[in-house]
Amino acid sequence: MAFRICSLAGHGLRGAFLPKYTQKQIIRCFRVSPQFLATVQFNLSDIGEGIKEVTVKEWFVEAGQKVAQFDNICEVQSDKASVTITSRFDGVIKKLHYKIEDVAQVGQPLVDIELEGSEEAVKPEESSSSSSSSSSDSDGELKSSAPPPSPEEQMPYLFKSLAAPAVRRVAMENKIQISDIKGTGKGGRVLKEDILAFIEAKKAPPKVVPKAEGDRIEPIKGVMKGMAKTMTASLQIPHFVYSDEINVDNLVLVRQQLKEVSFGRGGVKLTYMPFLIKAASLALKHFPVINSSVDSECQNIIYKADHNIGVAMDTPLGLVVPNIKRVQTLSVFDVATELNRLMQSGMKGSLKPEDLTGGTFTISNIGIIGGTYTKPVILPPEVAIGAIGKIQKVPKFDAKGNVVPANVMYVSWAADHRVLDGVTMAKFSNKWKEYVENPHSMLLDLK
Amino acid sequence: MTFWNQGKALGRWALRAFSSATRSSRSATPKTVFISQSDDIFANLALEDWLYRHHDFSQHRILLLWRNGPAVVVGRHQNPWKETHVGALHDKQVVLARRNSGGGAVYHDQGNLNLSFLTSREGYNRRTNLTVVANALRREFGLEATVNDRDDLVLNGNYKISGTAAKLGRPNAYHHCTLLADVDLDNMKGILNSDDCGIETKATDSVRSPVANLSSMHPGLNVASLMGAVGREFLRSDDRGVDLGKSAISRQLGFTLVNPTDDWFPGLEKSRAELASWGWRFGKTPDFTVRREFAVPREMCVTEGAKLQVQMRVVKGRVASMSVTVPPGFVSNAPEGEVAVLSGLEGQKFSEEAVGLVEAAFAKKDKSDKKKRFVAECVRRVVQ
Repeated sequence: MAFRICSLAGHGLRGAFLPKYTQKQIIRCFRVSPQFLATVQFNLSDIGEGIKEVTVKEWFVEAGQKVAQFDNICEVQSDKASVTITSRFDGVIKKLHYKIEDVAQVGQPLVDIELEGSEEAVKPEESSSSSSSSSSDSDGELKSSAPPPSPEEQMPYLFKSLAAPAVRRVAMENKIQISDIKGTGKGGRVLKEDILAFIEAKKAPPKVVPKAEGDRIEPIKGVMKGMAKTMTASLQIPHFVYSDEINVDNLVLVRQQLKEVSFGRGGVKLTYMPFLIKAASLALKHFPVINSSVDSECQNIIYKADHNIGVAMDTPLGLVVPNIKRVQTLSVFDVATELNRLMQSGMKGSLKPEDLTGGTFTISNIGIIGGTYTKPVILPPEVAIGAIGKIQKVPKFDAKGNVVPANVMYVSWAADHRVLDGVTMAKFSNKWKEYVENPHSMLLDLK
Repeated sequence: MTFWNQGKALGRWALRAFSSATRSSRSATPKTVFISQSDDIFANLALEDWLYRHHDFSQHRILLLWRNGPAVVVGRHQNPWKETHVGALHDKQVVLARRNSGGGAVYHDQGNLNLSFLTSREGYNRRTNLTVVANALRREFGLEATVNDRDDLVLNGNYKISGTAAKLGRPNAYHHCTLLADVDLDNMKGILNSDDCGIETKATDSVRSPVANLSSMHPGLNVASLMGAVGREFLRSDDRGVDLGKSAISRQLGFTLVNPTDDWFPGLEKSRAELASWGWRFGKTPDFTVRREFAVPREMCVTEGAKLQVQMRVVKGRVASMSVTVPPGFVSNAPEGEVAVLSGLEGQKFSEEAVGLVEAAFAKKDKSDKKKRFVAECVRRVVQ
């Protein structure tokens, strides 16, 4: 149960809290309408130099294989020129029209591709990978951000400017020209995020979240590189989980004492979360690698200076993960205030896009519903996530060997094994546990 | 931009020069001439490939000049056994390489200059490049070269002095060609043979033409002077091959010596190793069947004019199946007709090693030495 809720977080994230589109987006999530699965015949485009036919020499795809725009499809040869043909669409290859050594005609169908309908599932990976790869260059690879000119268009209505059908609909509904928007997707494609950001910018001056200085980029080298190489599966982040048991007797006491004080200051509800969040931030100071993000090719780690800690929330419209910005600069009370604000916005359905993006670390308090040990799912491009189980009263042995009641809480951390190892997570967890089991110690590290 | 930040003079200098070059004429994309300091064919092919894969040519064009020690370079989809006598190459100290572009087989040695015109896909134009080369030959050496309809450079209408091939992809493309400055033509003719070796295949054929060295028309012409001439012409031409005058040269990014190593081009070593590997050079050969007949010596067979036929099916450079057809009367105590020889041979590389195995296998079976040796000898000749 807990696992499933956590994994939905990524999907619900984008669509759930933007008032106008809410209903339509959710419905699109769950319904597969036939018009989005059109099969397109991808013709062999003009190669130039008056060439009318070529020989197919090698196929790089086969029927049933998924392709993305700009992936290599096949290699053809004409007299002296060897030409690599790349895909114009995202989708699934349905049929290859030629075998190796066949002669293919220019202008005739080369492959049939079934187009991908909605881009929901792909969104978080894609947009975040393109933004982190543009800030770093691995192996001297220069990615040009301008959309490639393609004079020979076989499907003009789909590809006047690069955007998927779902994105176009959103633009149309809001009477926006796609060409007005700068795309941040692969090859300059306009993504749903770009449109939403554009709309927000038009509506009101955006709340200026101060840009962090001190972001540090480091290429992955050495042992870590070896680890990254062996751990990377093709599309998934390899998770590993580290769980522990925390004695929260002291925390329960502290919260009791401070609850009234907090309420007195403008009705701010003080739960355990602000303490857990602040403790996480204090622990992250010692292990900055956990507050980092990694690009999709696992070439670079970006150490983020700000601790933007996300909190998973269950709301009437589903699970969302807004984040509290710059926790490292906030007091526990500030965190509580902000958390209250986010929860109320969440309940009303008025969370802003800034609240939902830019997270660097996440804590999920699934314990308010139930559960003890869980395996939460990391939200890319973050590299770690924590899930807190419920607080239970259990018998424990004290120093003298007597049985005493103790309030115990379970935490499970999941981390990206390409970047983090068990020891780092264990040490981080212990540090965090120190703060949580002894809230007074946080006094020593307040800044 | 990691490539430019390698800390070599290349990066810092070129980076500064970029900003000034953009002020130059609009139809002349900023250009650089790279001269490779290596004469290792694999390193140079890897370099060309690296630039093709990783460099941004939207505002830049590169002419890469390179030359190699003796080598036979076959096209991407060619059959090396058809193009040359593979077994003899080692003794002659000639290496075999396979390039990434299409076209036919060529012979390189130190008297041959290779030119690679690297551009974006949109900037690709073979005729323009060849026109630039022809202009260079005329301007500096007074030689009249024309571009024929096969996109070859021909001297005085007769002799081919250059071979061309190209690779187009997204977003980049390149067109490369050779220039016979002062090549050992006899050696070349001996190596690029067109003997009927019994190979049936759909691999790309080479089209042969009479060739000549540029130095035969202009004594004293050598690769070094050719590099300068072509490089300068490239720098002073615009994107359509039109000469912009001598002053245009100084507005370009000039000549740069490059070293194809991992320090300069990260990932290049891996590419070089791949290009030098057996799997690329031989394993990428399109599947073929080879069939040859040999006259059986009179004393081994009663019938007149008997022939022994060896047939092999080679897939990805390895023997997939082999059969030997013996004429009647050849072997007295074994069945006649096709003899499917040993599954032990399957999967072996199509080379001398396979022959050795045949010999070993036969040695176990039969006493009639001479005949077995004869069969093995036939197999050896097929493989070479």
